[in-house]
Amino acid sequence: MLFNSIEFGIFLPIVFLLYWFVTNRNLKLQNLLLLVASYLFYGWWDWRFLSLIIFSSFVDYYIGIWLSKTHVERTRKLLLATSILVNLGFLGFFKYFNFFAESFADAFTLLGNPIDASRLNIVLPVGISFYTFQTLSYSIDVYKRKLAPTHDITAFFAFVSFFPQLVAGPIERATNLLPQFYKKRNFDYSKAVDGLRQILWGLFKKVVIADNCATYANQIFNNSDDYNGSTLVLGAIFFTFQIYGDFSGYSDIAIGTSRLFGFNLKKNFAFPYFSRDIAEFWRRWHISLSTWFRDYLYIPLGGSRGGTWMKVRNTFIIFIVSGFWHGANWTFVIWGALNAFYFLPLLLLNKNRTHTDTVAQGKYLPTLRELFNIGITFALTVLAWVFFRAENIGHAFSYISEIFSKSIFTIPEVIPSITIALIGFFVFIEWINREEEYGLNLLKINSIVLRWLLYILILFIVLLFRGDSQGFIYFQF
Amino acid sequence: MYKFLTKSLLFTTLLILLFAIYLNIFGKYIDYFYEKFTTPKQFSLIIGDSRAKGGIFPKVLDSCLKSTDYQTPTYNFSFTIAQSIYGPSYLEAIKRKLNTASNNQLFILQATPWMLANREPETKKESDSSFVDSPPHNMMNMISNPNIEYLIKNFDYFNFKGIFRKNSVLYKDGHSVNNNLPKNELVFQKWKKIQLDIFLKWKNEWRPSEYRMNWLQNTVTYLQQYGTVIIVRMPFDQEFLEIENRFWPEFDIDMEKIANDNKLIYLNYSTKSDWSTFDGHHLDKYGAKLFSQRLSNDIMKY
Repeated sequence: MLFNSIEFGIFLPIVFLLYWFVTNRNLKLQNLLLLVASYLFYGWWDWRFLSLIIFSSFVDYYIGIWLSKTHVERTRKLLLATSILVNLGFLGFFKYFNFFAESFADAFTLLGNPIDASRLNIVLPVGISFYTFQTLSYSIDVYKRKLAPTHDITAFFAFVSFFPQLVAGPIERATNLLPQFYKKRNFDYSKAVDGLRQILWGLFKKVVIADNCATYANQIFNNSDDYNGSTLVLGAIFFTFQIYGDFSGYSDIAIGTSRLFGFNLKKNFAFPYFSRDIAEFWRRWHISLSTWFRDYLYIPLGGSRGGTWMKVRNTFIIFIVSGFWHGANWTFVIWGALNAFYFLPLLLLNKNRTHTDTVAQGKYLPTLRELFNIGITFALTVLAWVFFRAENIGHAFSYISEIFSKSIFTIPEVIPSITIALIGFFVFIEWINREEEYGLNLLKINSIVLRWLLYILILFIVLLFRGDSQGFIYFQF
Repeated sequence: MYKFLTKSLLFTTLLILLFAIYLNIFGKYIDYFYEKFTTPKQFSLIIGDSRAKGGIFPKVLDSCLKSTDYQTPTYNFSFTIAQSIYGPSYLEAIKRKLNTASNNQLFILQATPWMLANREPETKKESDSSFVDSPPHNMMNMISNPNIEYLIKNFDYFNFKGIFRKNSVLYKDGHSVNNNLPKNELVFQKWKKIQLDIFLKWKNEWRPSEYRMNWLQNTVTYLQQYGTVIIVRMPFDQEFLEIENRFWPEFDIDMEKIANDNKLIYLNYSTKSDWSTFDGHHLDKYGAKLFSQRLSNDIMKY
């Protein structure tokens, strides 16, 4: 079920009313309702793949219990390895099998021994990259004794499949989300209203910004040979806003929906395109994934504690793995590696934590230097997104080489003025709210009439300027 | 909680109200079909695809037919080629829209080889399954304003931006007018080429259908209970006729046979290409007006 569908518009109020009016006196029943609703939400796409979530939940639930019962380190390690093997095994099979098969075949062909890659017709289960990481975090935290294992099977299954963030994050840690299933949730008016506001903003980002940008990004990327350099720059910028609007829009709707049910999810985006360097960008982009890799990969590898070589190695590992997490294609690997190249100088010069505050805090406008830094960071990000969006590495290189040709000084062949104006409006609203939790904080406006008028205005903008309906990009990850 | 629910309900009501007003004022610009489901049940229907939808103006017919006994006003219940195909599903939709309180109605049934073609692969049994999820087939409620069922089932059909350019207008009597006309001959030829390519594709992929012919017969039989049925083949440029003739060489003979069997009139304008179109086969608003007058005059003769 898509957040921007009529089905979800019917599903959400029904679950909301049942949750607060029918099951509110019994925590177990409330969790059970969330579990059933989550399975219905997921099964709406393809009920067969529910079995994967259920199996994965079973494995990690019982491994958690066994981990608490044994103190033999070898057994504990074996249990953790089982959890990792099962979860990453599913992920590896469904997401990477064909990629590895083809890469091996290509490698053999290059060495002069051509072989046929046996491809399987595998459908990638929606959200598998997200929920496997979520359930893995539980096993690892229990293994590290950071978290007591749960004996509440309903709560655990509901935690793994919690519908607002099941298919595209934020990737929640068991330490944050699971305990919220143990405690009675009380309805909080301000929290619920805030949730609705965040849903509205997420919808705007997805339906207006991402879907409109997608039309032009697709047109330009799919026919990049036909366009001049300046048009290709525009295409890359459209994709930059498409992916941000799409993914952060999904996160906003997920976080807002969770707030309606009394849950607090982690912030996943913090206005990343206002970052002054790449390190800041990565503290603000897909925060739940970055911190996941930091805690479960980067730090166990030694983090930045070792010598220069170790810092370089670990940085590359984390960025390349992060790229590979996004998809089974070399373009994602290059995208990750490119970001590592961007990040490394800052790390090695100890400047990776220069900008930990919000840009131009308490001011209306940034300084010229800040603006320059934002511009450079944005340009580097746009360039990296070309690899992310391109069909293959050759396509990415030909795209970039055309950008850096003389034709960049010609007038773009595609100038969608309405979409550009919408992006301008979007950036403006995000800028004035950049110190808030999300982009649409209207609480500064005291008049309820004015606030409601603004909500209605945004809803009508969503209605009037919605782009051609597109799936969420991160569903494919 | 009650404060939240009360405010939510109030806000939703306000929103629905505003949206209903918006639809009422601008509905004709933002969806090709929505308005057809917001009017009461209708007498004297015009059945067909987009050529009939934009090519037969009920008002012109009514002004000519007012001296006759036919039950007017007439109503254009045509859609586009994607939905307009003679079969059980279209007939059910007609039944849901038709006001059966009169036995003196006039029914104009457009006939094209494409509305009577088998569009399924040869291996598949012919049925309406491939388009039953689109209007009018998926609509039970044809007469409420605003039409919530239409909004829920066919939301993706709406082009809310349509209020800015007003390229297409769907009038309350069911006919539509395309305001986006080709600016010059070059554009016209380009659009015509696109349409010709579509016709060629259909010619290669579809087949004349006995099954659809039977359902045209069933539609005629049903409608004849309530009045007079006329089958019309609309005019268009001759290149299109050539393709249709290659697809179904005996088409006019088959239509004549149905007309004779059912004692009704078959009016064939396909060889007359003197009405203006905007892409070679859709009459533009000027051509449609003239054609509607000509059609009325011809109906009056019988």
